[in-house]
Amino acid sequence: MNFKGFIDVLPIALGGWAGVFAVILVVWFSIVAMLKCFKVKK
Amino acid sequence: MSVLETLSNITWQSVVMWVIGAILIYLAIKKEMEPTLLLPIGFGAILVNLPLSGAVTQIYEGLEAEIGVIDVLFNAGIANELFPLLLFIGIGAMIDFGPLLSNPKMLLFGAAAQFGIFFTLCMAVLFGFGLQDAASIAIIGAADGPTSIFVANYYGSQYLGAIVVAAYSYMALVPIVQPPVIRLITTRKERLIRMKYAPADVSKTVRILFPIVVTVIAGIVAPRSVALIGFLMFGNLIRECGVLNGLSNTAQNVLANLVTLFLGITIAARMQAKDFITVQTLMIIGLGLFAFVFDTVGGVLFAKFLNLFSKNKVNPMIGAAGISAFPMSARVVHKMGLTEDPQNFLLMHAVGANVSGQIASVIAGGMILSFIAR
Repeated sequence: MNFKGFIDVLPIALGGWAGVFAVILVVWFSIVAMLKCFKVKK
Repeated sequence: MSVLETLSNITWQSVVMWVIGAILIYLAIKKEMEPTLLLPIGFGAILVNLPLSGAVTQIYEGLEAEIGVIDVLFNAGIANELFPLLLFIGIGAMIDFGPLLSNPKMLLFGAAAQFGIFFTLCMAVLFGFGLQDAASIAIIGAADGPTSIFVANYYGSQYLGAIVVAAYSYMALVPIVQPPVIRLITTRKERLIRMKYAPADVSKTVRILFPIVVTVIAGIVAPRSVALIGFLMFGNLIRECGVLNGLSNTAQNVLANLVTLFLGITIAARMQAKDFITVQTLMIIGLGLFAFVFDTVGGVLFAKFLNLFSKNKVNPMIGAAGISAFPMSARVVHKMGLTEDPQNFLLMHAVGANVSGQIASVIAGGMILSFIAR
């Protein structure tokens, strides 16, 4: 069991997951902005 | 070379690999578990483990190496990451992001359900795998075959064969893996939550801009992911632009089928007995299951967390659909909702979360590539 390695990799894992959320949030805001700017013409 | 000489080269490990190959073929045909991949992989496992198989490179004493066709295909399509990327064009052309664009909140569940990848990364390191191999194993949790192949190959993992077999097997086993996990961490009251479906109208302009915008965002934040996400979104742009129906159909059918055909059998290059029959392979199979379970846990718990603050409650099962296994995961959640309440239709919400998982899993792969050096 590599406990030291586990502790060392924790920040990478947390950072990676947070990074996914960050990108997804930017994509979300972009979609909302696009939906507002380019509405379906009725 | 005599038949006797060939027979004398059969080892018990080769026989085990034939059995594994036969099991994969059986599962593909009889149980219809990801047949497009598991059947070629199963046949390939038998092919490369025949004694002195000419399908893989053989080195004979005092002679020049005889290059095998499987190794040629491996170097031409997997070692340089070409096959998974080409497959992504086909997948992108198949995906309708409409349910996500009309309900973009679902994106969050895609991000949450990548938890299993990062938790498994830690666990793989804990169990003694090196950082690059741990990253390759963790990406099984992306529930996305091409991403698994791409990342494992990027790090040159010697466990590529086991990783791919685990990834595709668990994708096929989503209907068996997810329901008990979801039931374990949700109450019946939560599973009965109904969600209104009021989708926003999505214009064609938004559908066309979406793949371009996602590519640019992912490219800026995680440049290493740009090949993965770019090819996926290129496929989607072909689909949505409306003027390339011929190319879209080709990408969805001919290209995807052709690449899948070669991808499956070529993966077998990394399924030779000496590399595959190891304790590590069993550990990878276990860690793959772990990744899928904790993806599901991450998605469901995140939905429950949102419900603490939200007026319009989300059925937490939707969180489980945030894994990338499309469309199985959405179907599983929809079916579970109907089992609890025959009038509770969760399908469109689940599909939104599920296609979000497709994007998030690729971004997660990109994050891993960015955070962990080759």
